[in-house]
Amino acid sequence: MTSQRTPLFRLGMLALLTNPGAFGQPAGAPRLFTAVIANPAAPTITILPAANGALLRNQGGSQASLDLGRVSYFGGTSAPGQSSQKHSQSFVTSTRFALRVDCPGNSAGSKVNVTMSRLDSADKHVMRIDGTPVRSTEQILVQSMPCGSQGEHRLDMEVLVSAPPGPISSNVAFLATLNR
Amino acid sequence: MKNRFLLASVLSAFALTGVASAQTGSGTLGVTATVAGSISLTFITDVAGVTLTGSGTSAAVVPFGTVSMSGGSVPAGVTKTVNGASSFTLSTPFDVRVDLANSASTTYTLTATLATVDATNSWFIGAVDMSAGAPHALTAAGTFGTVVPWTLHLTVPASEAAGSISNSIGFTAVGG
Repeated sequence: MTSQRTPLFRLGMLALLTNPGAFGQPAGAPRLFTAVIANPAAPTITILPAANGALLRNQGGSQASLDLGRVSYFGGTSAPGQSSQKHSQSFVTSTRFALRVDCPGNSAGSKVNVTMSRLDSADKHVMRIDGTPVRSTEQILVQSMPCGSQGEHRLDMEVLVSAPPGPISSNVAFLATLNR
Repeated sequence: MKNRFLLASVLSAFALTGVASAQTGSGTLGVTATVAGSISLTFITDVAGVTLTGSGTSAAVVPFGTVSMSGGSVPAGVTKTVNGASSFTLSTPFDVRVDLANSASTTYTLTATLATVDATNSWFIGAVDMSAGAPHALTAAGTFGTVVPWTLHLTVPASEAAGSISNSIGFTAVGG
């Protein structure tokens, strides 16, 4: 008896999944099964200029670039939205930027964890965001950030006085993971 | 029917897998800058010299105060030498420190220029007469990060009318 009921139960569940009317959908609505299991779109990250930050160029999508311009130990920086601080063996150029996270298709109140990691390996300068050094391994930048919100962050680039003159560059990757 | 059940099970497994996996989105911020080499020149009060106004900065003042050829006194750190009946000289040591960042230079050259040509008084730094106003080399092989004492000599002729004497000396350090 039991061995007969189990297949029947499974068939019943299958009928529910394949019968649109079972979920109150219009009978003609196609592919109800797909609608039920479809994942909401992935979160999107937008990098924006901060109110008092340096000029930031959005390069489309989730890519942006920040040019801190000419910086030096004794001369500091003259670009608007930036500040400079000298230490005994290094100097730090600081600015601010904003991160916005959207979660299309997710319920209001959804949140994400945002991590950061550095994609380059230059050792003559250190990148810090909100005081935390950005390394090649992922680190938490913001926990439980509400979808649809944005926040400002401080970016520090520390250059050793022993570093040779010339251009420097770094890429910081941000990853937003939807909380479940 | 068995095949349909199997298919449904497989689809369900995929669906559940999809729901369970984390949804992620990414972004990248590129940061660029150009590091420029820089030099700092700082005037510092010498232990044996007059107290510089603005010591520790790159814009200092040597305050000789009010002096006279005969009699009177001079500030601490200032030496007055009377040169017979023709003139008197005020001298004081002061220190210069030159620092370097983000450069491969190992030494620096230091030049000094009197801002306004002075045909009446004589301005010397060490043995170099600055009075004519042109740039004068003080050293061609200065060492970064070290305090170097220099001595300023101002010679005032006895024939000069009493009054204020003021001038500026610009210092330029260039990494070599």
